[in-house]
Amino acid sequence: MDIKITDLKKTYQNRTVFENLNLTVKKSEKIAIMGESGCGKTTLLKIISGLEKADGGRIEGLPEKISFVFQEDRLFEKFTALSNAKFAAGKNIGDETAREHLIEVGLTDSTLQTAENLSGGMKRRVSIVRAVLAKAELLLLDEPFKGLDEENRENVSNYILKNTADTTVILVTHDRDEAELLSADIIKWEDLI
Amino acid sequence: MARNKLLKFGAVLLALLFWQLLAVIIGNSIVIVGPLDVTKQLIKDIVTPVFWGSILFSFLRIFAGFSVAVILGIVLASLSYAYKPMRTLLWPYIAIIKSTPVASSVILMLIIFSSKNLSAFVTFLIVLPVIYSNVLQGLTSTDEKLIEVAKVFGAGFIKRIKFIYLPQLEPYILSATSASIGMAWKAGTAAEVIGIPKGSIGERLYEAKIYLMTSEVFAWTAVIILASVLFEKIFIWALKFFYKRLWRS
Repeated sequence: MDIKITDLKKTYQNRTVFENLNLTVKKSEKIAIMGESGCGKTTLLKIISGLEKADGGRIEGLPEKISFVFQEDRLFEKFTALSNAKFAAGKNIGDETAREHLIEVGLTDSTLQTAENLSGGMKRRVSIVRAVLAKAELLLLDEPFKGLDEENRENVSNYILKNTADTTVILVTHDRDEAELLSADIIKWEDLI
Repeated sequence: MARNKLLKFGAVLLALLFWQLLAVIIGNSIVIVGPLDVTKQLIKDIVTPVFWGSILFSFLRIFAGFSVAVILGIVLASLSYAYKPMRTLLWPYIAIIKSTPVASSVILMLIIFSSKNLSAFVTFLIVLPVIYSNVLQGLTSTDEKLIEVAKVFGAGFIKRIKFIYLPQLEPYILSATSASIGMAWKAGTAAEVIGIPKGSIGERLYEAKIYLMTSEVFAWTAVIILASVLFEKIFIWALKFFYKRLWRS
């Protein structure tokens, strides 16, 4: 089912973040919303994911299961990379599968390391694997490649594309390269309002 | 690290030496006895069944009071965190328990109950507010961003407890229990000295005071300190062991 956002409005302490925001995303489509920092992209993802409430408008066609790569890694620091990766995964995904996914993004020797001992780039990759393993129908990506070097960006984008063929993906970024790596249809923030 | 330990050991030796010197200078075994006399007294007591019976009597009650306070403190703090009105509702009780002098609690308990389990009640009253306040503080400072992760991915109750709240509470529970174990032994035995339950450490201390057996007072004080430190070490070790297992799970 397509996701249809109509006349969405959000205010913060009497300041309008955005209003009359309209967007339609087809099933399994991958789109990238590009805009300046602070324009409200993250807020939009939070509303779609149900973490924040809109002050107006409506969203139709949202699937039950949504996955999210936040702008920050938001890992459970004391737990291993493997435990973190499996956090949102269903019961059918065991240690071996999760390990294979971590290896795929280049974390071969770090699966049993605790998150607090991983580097920034490693943490980023674990948070991406966690979101992918959730096997949701909608994947929200908030600047997912932040902190990754060139090689890892390409590797991780291939990993996401390979594992989200049937998934609707909404990426928000201010970096055109990020959007292009995921071969997503680019939509400018200004065109949504 | 080794140097630091050596320095600490040296400081303890120096303190013992100073204590012995003070005892020799004062030269009155009713006012003060030195560490050598205390050790002699302990060696004499340690072989008697009364000695171990008293320790067991007090330990069981202090442990019971402490355990109930820890469990109830965590439960009440969790309820207060989940439902704000509960926090307001509990506030006067916690404030009263926190500020009531031990002596008043003991007298009230003696009026209502027998002196037998007095130390358990008093320990409970001393430990409960410490655990409650610390756990509540830990819960209220939980990282909202991690709670959002749990919400988005639809994590259930057990998963949230395991991944978010237990790790968050680790330093708070460790410091609260570490601080309250010492307080539990101090207050528990103080209550026993007032209530004089038969067969307790408090009774031994009371008798030592009545018969001016200062070396007994010192020996039992040493026993209380040792028991408290040992209890604390074992409890903290068990807590850390639990957390180590949790991180690996």
